[in-house]
Amino acid sequence: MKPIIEVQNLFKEYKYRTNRGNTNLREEFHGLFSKRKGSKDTFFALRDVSFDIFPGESVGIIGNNGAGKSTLLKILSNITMPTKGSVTIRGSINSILEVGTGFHPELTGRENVFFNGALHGLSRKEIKQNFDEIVDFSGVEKFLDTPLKHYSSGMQVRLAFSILSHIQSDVLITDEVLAVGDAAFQQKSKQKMEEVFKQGRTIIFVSHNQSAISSLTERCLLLEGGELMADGKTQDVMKTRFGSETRFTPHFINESPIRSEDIVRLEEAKITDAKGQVLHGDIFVNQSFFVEMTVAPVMKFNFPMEAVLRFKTHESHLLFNATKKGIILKENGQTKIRCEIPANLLNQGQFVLGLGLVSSSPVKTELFLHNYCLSFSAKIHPEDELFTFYGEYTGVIRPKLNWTIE
Amino acid sequence: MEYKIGQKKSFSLLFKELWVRRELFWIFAWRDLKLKYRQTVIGFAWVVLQPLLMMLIFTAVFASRIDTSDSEIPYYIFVFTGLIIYNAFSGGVSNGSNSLVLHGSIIKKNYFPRIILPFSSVFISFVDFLASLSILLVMMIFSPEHLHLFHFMGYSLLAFFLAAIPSVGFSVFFSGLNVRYRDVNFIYPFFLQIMLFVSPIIYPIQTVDDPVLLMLLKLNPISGAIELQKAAVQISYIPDMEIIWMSLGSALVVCFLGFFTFNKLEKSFADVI
Repeated sequence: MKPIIEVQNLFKEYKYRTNRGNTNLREEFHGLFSKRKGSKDTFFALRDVSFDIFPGESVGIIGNNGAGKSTLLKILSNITMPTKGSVTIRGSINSILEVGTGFHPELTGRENVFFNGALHGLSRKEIKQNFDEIVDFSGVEKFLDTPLKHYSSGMQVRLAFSILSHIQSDVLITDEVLAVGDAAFQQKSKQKMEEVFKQGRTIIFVSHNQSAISSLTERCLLLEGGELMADGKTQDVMKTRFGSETRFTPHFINESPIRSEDIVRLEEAKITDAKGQVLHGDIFVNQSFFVEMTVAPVMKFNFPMEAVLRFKTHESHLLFNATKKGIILKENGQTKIRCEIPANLLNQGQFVLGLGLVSSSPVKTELFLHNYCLSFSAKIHPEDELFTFYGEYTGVIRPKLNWTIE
Repeated sequence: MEYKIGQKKSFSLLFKELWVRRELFWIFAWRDLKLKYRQTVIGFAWVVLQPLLMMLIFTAVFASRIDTSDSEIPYYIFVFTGLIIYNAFSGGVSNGSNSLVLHGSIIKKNYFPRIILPFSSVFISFVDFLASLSILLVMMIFSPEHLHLFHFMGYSLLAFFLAAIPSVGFSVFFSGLNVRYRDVNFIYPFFLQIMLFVSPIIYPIQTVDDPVLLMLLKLNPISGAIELQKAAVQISYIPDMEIIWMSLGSALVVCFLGFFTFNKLEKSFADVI
């Protein structure tokens, strides 16, 4: 049997862009005549990646931020072209890299369903046939002829997801589509995804959610720094990554290039002790620690910002959000934003931190959001209370509360 | 079916893809048309109001200065016929030039033949053309001796196709280039303005003596369409076939150049947009 996707020696090179905005002719002319042709101004998002995927396989792709997962998906979906190497595809392919691509606030829910469906290759007839089912699944029947701008974000996401589950193609490529909607809808969409995975189609799935990867895929590719580090059974690959020598990232340095849409950029993030030293080992739950992000403006932006900290378990369940409003950045250079995580808050376990910076004025803007930026493991200090009457402490948090006995 | 990603795309594939995804083309056109008029109060009226106002201005300024004694129609109809072709053309080019940049977020997240975008923008401006055409028809009712419906519709249809060719050509050319160089945003309005005056819109081509200007007029890719549209409203007017062939020729050259550059640039759209 011939592989349905054949990837051979794939390279993708990106140019760093130092100034914001797009090139104009002046710069291009300048580049023509100056000798400084910047080979050092480029970096490889993918380096010599090769693999085959056979019909009916479901393959997970894992790796840290900036490992090249998204670039790989974009090349497989024909959105961007490889610099070197070849990709052969034998069959129809469709990708969902974003929920609700092309949704327009001025159009009604119905109109958006038709447009988004067509964008993913569904014919008018197919959408009409499945329309009731799509609407039913999303639960927005009553608002079908209302412009999308009056929908809550949850409703929009539900509608978008419902369309996606009807996409027909030999190969389906998706990126973190499970994590949408409220808990009830997540359950529903997870079931739907499981159904889709069981249809015997070829599926490529990128996720940071370990339990989703483990339960949905048999095979897994591990990318690191643009290179394919492991390719094999999901369990084995997971072991290489999270196994004996557990890899946590208490320190994140942003190495990805400045993109044209960047306004403020996260340069560095780390988990530190009170002195500012990165905590590489385990964190004891009875000691406080700090999360520090270093940000720098790419262009002038003098509006107050809000820092967002998202605590998640390693299974990607959101634990809580913490925010700090009214942050004004230094105009030049870096600003450090630190947050103290108090002692006696978490229970032992593995945690993932997402860091973001948003601004509500002049318009709502997400300056950046790194969903899986840092991770760490928390342990109970050996001198602390280790057990309760029932054995080990269970649960995700373990706060010390004040008790009174009268 | 087997295909390779990253291979050079042939010209024929460019059109084959467009044909395969024609349904998406229609839905893009339908969506943009809806969005265009959704929040306007008088909606479609704007489409016809624009050439009407321009007609009023040109008539006020030029009617007494330009000799149109050869033509059967009053000056205001003369100008209006030229303007509706020009408006369809310029509307198509300006929407088309921005079409890729405007849909950048979709381009980055989804694959579809990018060529759909400039094509559907041109299509929308030709829907506008039909609206203006109906106004022209109403004007003609007031001088019924020149109105012959079959003659009118036949020539208008020809004019429509002749104007659509350069409109597509320039849209495809500018849209692809605009992704890379935003300078295009400054170039095309200037270019369109020049086109207005180097076309037989305000003055009849027969009154031009200067050989250089005459040559430019003949090479202008929309001159042919304008001449045909003028023939639509005058039964005895026989358009100069030389103008039509020459302008069709340059329109086809523009189209070829447009598709050629677009095809070259398409690979990098998602990376630089």
